[in-house]
Amino acid sequence: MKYKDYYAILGVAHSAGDEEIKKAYRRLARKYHPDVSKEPNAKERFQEVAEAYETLKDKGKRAAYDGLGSHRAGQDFQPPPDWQQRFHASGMDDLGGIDLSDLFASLGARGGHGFRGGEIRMPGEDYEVTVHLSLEEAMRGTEVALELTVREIAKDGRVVRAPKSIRARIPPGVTDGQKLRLRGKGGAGINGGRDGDLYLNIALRPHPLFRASGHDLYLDVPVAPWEAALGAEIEIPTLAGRVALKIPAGSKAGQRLRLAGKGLPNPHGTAGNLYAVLSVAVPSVLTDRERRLFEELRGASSFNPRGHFAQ
Amino acid sequence: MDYDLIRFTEFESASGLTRVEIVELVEHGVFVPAGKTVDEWAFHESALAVARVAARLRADFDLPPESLALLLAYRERMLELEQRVRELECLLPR
Repeated sequence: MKYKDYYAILGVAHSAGDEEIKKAYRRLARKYHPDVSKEPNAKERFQEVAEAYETLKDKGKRAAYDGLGSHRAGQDFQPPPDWQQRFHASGMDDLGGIDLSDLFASLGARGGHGFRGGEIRMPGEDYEVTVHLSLEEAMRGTEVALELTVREIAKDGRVVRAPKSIRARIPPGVTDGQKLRLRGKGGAGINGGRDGDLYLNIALRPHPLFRASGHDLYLDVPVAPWEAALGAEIEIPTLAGRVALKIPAGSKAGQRLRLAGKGLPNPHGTAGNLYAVLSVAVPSVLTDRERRLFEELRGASSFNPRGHFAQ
Repeated sequence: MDYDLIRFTEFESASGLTRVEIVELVEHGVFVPAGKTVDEWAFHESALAVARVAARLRADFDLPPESLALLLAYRERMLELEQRVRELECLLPR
């Protein structure tokens, strides 16, 4: 079993009182709570903090934790010989591969509700998993294979971790940040309680060409100065193949041209839009003839793009 | 999420909120159920994600419903602004 230093995680001394522990938890929870925090490792840090608080706020669990002795964080250790008897953890003979959080969850389960007795109906745990998809997969829909490690209560009342394989259908048109709920695919219910749910957090991988916002897609479309000035019909890529796009004469950089229904499909049976965002590209090296023609245009044109500065 | 309605009992068990907390959050305008009486209430499945966040925040910060409602309103505004930022970022050339 690997040791976790719950006091260090909360940043408090071993002698800290309940109030100090609660304050430290609240300060860290505010910083790392995954529903409000933007810290990159918020979820993992909050799990550590919550696990530490869950143990240290409970007098019995804290005494049992303190009874394990002091070790380096991450160090392999064994509880002292009489620890299981002192803290009513009998029957848990092999603690080698067990996680410290599962050990204390087991103590709580035995001391608090008595899972062994089998009379209390408890729902299974819900799980959340992030699923990374390409834009193409989001558009067509796909099937993903998930390998989860779920916590279950064994017949002897121990909390154990068990592997669980799930294949999940992702419907067409999911968007970045969307949550899909798979009813009953989480942890198993206890004593006839309902099985937990599995929530899939959809995360779309960046695409080399398209940017997605909800069901709408955005594509940078560079045009030549003469295409912007004179108008043109060009071809652009979409997720469903190439399409023709009419560039109106007098188009400007930054202008959005909308291709209705060429974005991601939505649940209403329609689809978002594809926006072509125009930029005017200029050749970085001009041939002699191109230079002469641009110089001729400069001499002939009365166009002043900064005329509004003078007003 | 798809756009199914879910019944009150399922909403309660899937969200982790109690029936009383859900009623209070409805009174604060956080959820707008379909159905006239509490027994007939059904919730948009999209409200479940918000309810689960509410349950976590309530448990992890020990918040009363009125604070929770205020926090969720600010969170909603933050998500709208983030969405607006994403849209504007989409307009910027790479």
